[in-house]
Amino acid sequence: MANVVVENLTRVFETKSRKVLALDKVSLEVRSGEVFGLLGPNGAGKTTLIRILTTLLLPTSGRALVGGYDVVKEAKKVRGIIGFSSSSERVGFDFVTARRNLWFFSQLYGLSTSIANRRIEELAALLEFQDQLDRKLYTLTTGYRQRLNIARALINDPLVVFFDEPTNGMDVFSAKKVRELFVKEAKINSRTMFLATHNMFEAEEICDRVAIIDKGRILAIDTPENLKSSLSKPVVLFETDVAGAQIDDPTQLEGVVGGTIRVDDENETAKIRVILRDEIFLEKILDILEKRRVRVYNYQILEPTLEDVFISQVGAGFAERERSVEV
Amino acid sequence: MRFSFTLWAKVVIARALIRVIAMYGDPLWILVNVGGPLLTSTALAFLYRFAGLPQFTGFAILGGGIAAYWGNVLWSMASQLSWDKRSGMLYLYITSPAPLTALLIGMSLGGILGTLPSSIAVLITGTLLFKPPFSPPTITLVLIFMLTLVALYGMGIALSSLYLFLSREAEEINEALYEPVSFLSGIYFPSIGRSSPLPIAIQAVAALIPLTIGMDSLRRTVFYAEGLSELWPNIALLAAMAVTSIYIGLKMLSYIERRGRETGDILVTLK
Amino acid sequence: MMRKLIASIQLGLEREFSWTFPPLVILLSTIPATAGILTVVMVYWVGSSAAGKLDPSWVSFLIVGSSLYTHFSSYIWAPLSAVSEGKASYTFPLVFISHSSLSYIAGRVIASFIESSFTAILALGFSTLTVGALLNITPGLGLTPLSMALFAVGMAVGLLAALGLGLMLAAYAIFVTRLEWGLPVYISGILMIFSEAIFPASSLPHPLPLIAESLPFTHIIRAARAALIGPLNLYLAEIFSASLLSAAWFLAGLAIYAHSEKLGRRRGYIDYRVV
Repeated sequence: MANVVVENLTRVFETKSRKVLALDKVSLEVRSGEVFGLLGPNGAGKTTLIRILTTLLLPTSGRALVGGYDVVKEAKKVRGIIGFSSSSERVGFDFVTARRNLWFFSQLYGLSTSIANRRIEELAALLEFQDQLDRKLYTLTTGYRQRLNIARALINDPLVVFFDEPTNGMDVFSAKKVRELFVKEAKINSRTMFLATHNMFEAEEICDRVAIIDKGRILAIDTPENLKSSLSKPVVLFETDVAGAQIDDPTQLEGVVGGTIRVDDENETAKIRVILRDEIFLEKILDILEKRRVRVYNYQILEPTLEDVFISQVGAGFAERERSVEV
Repeated sequence: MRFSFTLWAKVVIARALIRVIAMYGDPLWILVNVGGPLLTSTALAFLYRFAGLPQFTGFAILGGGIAAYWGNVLWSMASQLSWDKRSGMLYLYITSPAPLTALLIGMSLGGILGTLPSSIAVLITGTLLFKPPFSPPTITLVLIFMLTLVALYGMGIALSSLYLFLSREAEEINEALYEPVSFLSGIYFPSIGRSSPLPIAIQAVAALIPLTIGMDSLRRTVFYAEGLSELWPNIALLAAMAVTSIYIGLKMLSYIERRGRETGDILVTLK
Repeated sequence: MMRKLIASIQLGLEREFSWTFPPLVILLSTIPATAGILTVVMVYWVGSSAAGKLDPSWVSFLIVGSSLYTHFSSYIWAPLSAVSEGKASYTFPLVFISHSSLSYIAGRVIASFIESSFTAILALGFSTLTVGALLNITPGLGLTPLSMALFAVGMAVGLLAALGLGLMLAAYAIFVTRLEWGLPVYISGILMIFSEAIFPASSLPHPLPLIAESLPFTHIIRAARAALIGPLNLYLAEIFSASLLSAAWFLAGLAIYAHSEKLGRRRGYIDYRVV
């Protein structure tokens, strides 16, 4: 059963001077028990889609259903069955204990205190912060505050939970705990876990399916494996001296579909990662680099990642895309 | 319908409780809250005494006791949603089924309970220091007090909705309006009626504010021992103001929430 | 030192004014200040009328006193705010390690003083006009170039006293990490009672008038009244007392602040913050 249905969803933000197309006829479906990742660089439209699905924003056109309810016409019903957590938002009241904060949020959903208390214990056990429950929020470390934020999103036993960059800035241990919880909640409790992320590792590791989004358009939707295997073109990584960084745009190199250049200041090297139309272009690129007096230390053909899928579609990586997006 | 009311009541209680815990959890909070009204009313009581009428020191003390409530019910609530928006809590409220009106009334109720020590401290200290003559509390006094709070609550919702579209301006406008509205409402002196020094046109404007009618009625009950028979026009007016302000407040809140979802403004976390 | 001070004044002014149209800032602070003065005048008017002791000449006494009281109470908190806000945003530790905290605080006070001075002068003018219109009287304020200049000298002396008091509050803010913003409310309230802002200190019960006499603000307000209402011959004595007391307060503030900074560093409070 599809818990999230999005059909031709479009959202335009209008200011006096310009119009921004944040979502462009987006369509997708997410099933019950599925961990779904919306992957894209900052400014791609991920947060806008989540805002619409969580009833914070109205679409310009198109339709979206959550748990079978229309997000525009039946917003109140949608709110009763969803959870929402964003790493950039506040966790709760600073001078109140973690337990009392969670209880407060349970009351926003009308839970009885006994059910709320049981749920608080369960979630604290799952996210391993039972010993922090009776501490005031301002005394908690960032990691515990973030776990509390995840627990808050699950307090009402929601059918669909939306997470906007859930592990952003989280310490490695907490992030691991949270990812494990996402999978458990989806598989055991049949929840739909809807993640907006630009963390490729996260998307590959826990998402059953991933939608790659850029400039408000969905470029591809499939399992991470299928997305990667659909990329039939070779991915090559050249390790060069810093002169390699002089190449502004890798697509100017012959046979390159898209690519990224990262400079490692410490080792004084540049890493040029490109997707080639065909393996035959490998030699040509080596020639070009030599002519440009770029010293190549090493090169290798790599297994494609989800970012490579993104690069093959738009020609640039997340970081390059973010730089080019007007905020 | 029953479910909606249960949810509404739960949200009110939860929000009030959180505010009370936050306020009473730190005794310093109480001390901070007492300071302003206590010292201002003491200073103005000294001024009444200097002016030659020690009996009127009660006006300053009553004003100090009420100022704390009025600050909490109307003024804190007016800036509440704007503050929630900037602190990121508004997201969490809107994505839940909790009615914003319940959150606002809960916050206001918590504020009232949290303000109790300040008000009591002002009234007791003022009474001990200046010994003003006053009548014992009556049902009429409680009725006037409650109606005034409800009317202010309605105004608070309306202002809260308006401020949602502002950032720092909300706080600044809120602060800028506090004193003029306090002045017109006559918290510390009678701004309407026979004893008011203000011209009749200004009195007419002042009478549009529920707090003015509330303060005038409270003074007449406490210091002139007037009862229901003398004050019924004021009570009827306050009741009408309460109903009207709640209606306007709710309409505005619903309009602003809808508009916010359309434009996306409600989501912008302003610094 | 001078460069740091000027940079801090600029920063302070930007903080006060840059969030919107600058005249709007002045207007938004003048409105409540004027309303506060009007409340004080009305309280006197109602009380004295009912007692049959109304003397309209006291109205100008109240207007000048309230304007200056509002002026002081709206900027004495600037050092405390600079420290507490700076600790929350981590600016203060950075200022501290650059050896600029004193000039930083002084700069912030001066910036607030500039804004507050505009407000106080406008509030003085508006309340005089409004009181005249509402009560149908003419408050006897002698607004000549000389009286205004003498009034301005009083405000400048007040800056020194406010800086001294502000530094004491800032010293407190080094150690306290929350609710310190509640302190200025007390300071303002105490000034309202003891600085002869709205009634003569002599009407306070004994020995409270002694407190009033030891406050530089009391003498500044008296000097301002002498300049704007008269008699002018009282001005010199009052401004002299005010200057001596302000210098003493400033030096005390400086010493307390410097000591607190050292103590704060020893105990690890400079960069200690609570959400």
